[in-house]
Amino acid sequence: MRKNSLLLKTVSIAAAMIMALGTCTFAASASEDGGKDSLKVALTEEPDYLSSCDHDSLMGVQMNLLTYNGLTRVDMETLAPVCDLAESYTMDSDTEWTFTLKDGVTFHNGDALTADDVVASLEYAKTFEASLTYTGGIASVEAVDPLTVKITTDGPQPNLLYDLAYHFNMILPKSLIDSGNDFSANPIGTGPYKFVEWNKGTDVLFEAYEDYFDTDRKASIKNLDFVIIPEGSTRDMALESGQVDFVYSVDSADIDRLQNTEGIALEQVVSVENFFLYLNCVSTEFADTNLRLAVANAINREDIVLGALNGYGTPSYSTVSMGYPESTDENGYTYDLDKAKEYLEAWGGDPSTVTLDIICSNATKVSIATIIQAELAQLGINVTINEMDSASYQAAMRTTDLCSAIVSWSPANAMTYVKRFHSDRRTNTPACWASDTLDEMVTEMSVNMDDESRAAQITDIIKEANTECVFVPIYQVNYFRGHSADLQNVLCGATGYVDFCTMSWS
Amino acid sequence: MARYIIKRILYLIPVLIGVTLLVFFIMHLAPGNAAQIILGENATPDQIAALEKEMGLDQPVIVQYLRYLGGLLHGNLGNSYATGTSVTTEIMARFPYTVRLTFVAAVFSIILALPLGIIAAVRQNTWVDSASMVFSLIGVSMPIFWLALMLILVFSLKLGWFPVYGADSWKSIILPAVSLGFMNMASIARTTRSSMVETIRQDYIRTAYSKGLNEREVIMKHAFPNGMLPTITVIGLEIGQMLGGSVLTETVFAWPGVGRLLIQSINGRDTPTVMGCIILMTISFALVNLIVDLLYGVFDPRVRTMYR
Repeated sequence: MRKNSLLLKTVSIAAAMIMALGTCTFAASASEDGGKDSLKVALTEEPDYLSSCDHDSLMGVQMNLLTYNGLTRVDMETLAPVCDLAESYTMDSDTEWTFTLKDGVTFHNGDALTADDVVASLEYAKTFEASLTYTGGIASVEAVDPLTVKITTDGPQPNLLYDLAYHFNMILPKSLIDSGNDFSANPIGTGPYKFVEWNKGTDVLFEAYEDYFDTDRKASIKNLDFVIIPEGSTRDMALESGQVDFVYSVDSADIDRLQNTEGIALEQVVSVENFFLYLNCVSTEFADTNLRLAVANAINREDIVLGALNGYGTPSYSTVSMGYPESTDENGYTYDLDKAKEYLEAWGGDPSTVTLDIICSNATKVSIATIIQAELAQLGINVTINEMDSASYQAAMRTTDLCSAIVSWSPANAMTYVKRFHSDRRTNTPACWASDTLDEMVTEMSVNMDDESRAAQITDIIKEANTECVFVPIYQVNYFRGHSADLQNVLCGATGYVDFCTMSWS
Repeated sequence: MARYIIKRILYLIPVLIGVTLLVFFIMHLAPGNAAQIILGENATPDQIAALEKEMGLDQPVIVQYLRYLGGLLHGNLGNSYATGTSVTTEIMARFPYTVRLTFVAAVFSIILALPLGIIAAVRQNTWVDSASMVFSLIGVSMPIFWLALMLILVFSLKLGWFPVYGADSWKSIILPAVSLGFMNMASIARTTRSSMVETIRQDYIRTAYSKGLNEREVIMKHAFPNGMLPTITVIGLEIGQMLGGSVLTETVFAWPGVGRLLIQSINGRDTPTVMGCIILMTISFALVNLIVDLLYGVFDPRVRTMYR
């Protein structure tokens, strides 16, 4: 009897401790804002930084778009650069640009935006190694008057307006740069949302900036709470249960169910993110264009979309994604086994001696490679699959030892995309395809400051890249964003970002 | 006793040196490095080399290790390569969550496992025994990932009793703790049963029965304390393991614990954070095992005399 009561006591004490632990620890966050002036967003991963210059990650940039502005921004619908903090700009020569700033813009700390802030920010960005791709072309920045900035480039830079929209070049208050502010812990900018709090591993909170300069893009939802939910099924169930209002990436296994769930809406965007089969064109048989074309025509992309992506992807037949104004699938590929065999014959080798070793950095890529393995077996090509973690994968991509990999790219514009067809890309991926023809075309396009003729040049480069089969395109990613059906004006861009400024509750 | 505790704590020093040395060199041998990952695919080799220099990754690995050890002796775990913030801050933001989850999961598993194991032993070879052990077998065999998702589906989505994810209310801890504790419960119950079965067969138990004591007294007063020793060992190991972070449970329930941080850091080749997590795990494990060893003394007078 005594033992029994002892056991009972122990259980009661333990239960009381659990309750107390829960109540004490979580009391501070017990009162939840259930009103319609807040939005809870489930992210797939935590951003490493909230500053603009220390990273190049999707989640980090998404956070940057809330707190900062650049002189320009990329319009999510058209993917074209438009003025943001700049009221207007003029191109004085091929290398000189003058930007006039919007008047009355203030930072979250109350400082007024001036040309000095722009000069300080662009110079500050250049001090970060990671930013050099997007800041390297800027030779000097000069404040002409408090609202005018002159930028001189080190040569014709038709990409400048895109580069200025890039997160590295976002504008920060000079006073904070000078004082050595940690912009990751204290991200002060001019953006539509002000940073409130970052609970590491849990969530990041923002609130709408009342004095935001752009009245058309002023946030209508007051509070944003980004919670980190790495597991796809949990994210989707959190949306179904109403615990979150917006899911950044819906798991493909849940798409059908969520589409038929009352109160939930799904946004599907065919992105410009292109998955392709990268082939070693330096030290393997794939240096032969006919062999690459044989592979490109032997892959049934619809099978891959159905088998590896549950049907949620868009087959890709051109080396550059469709969706840019300059995109074309001319000289692209089809699934045509006879044609593939013709190319194989033109190559003239024995396919049974060819081994295509594909490295993959996640389970989806392994599924894709498995389908490619089955399809290339029809040509007699042996495929092996090698799964590795993403750090090892990235390291392997920088060697000439690797044979093949499944890779994805999603630049904001076609110009950046086709620049990667130049042989100077071999500094990063030393085994990629390069040719004199493509080098010449890309070099010429890169200094052409006339928008119209440059667009035509980009289209021609894509056609040539398809002819030379620089790599084998597989599919374009379809982004699925899920949200409460009461959430309106949801704008999801083809480059992966979501515009939280336009959203409102019905 | 105090001497014994001090001796055990001092043993931790060579263990820590060995563990840090091993982990540091393994991290160094793994392909890829933090500079490459931070700069991304667009970075040129020159940019990567410049960042490697800035981060000290261009130094010989032994120099890097000694520098790290020097910092460690001053209590400095360094800064995360991935976030630039202090590793201590990163870990301490998460460790309390891991401790909470471990504590509740351990309480849950012990409360269920001990009666289950004792009843199975006392009613050996009856349907109660079979049912208890089948239940334990299910617990051991069930994938934790699947169990966690099923718990969310039933108790969060269908019944609405608990939140799907998070760590912001007392209700949030229930499903992760049940999910994590279930597997531990199964192994503790199985150990308790086998240990109690062996104890019950001892002569002194037969003597206790022959003295006229009832079953409850014999089991709780004589068999239970003696049968607990292997169980305590298992409980200690399970708690030690849970304190190192439970990656699957933390991932499914978006629980912001150390396990998730460790996996992210390994993937990002963030050596200082990996080292910090491993040091914390080693110390936790060693302390839990020390407590377990001391508990042996509580249950077994023979062990107490050894401490003297």
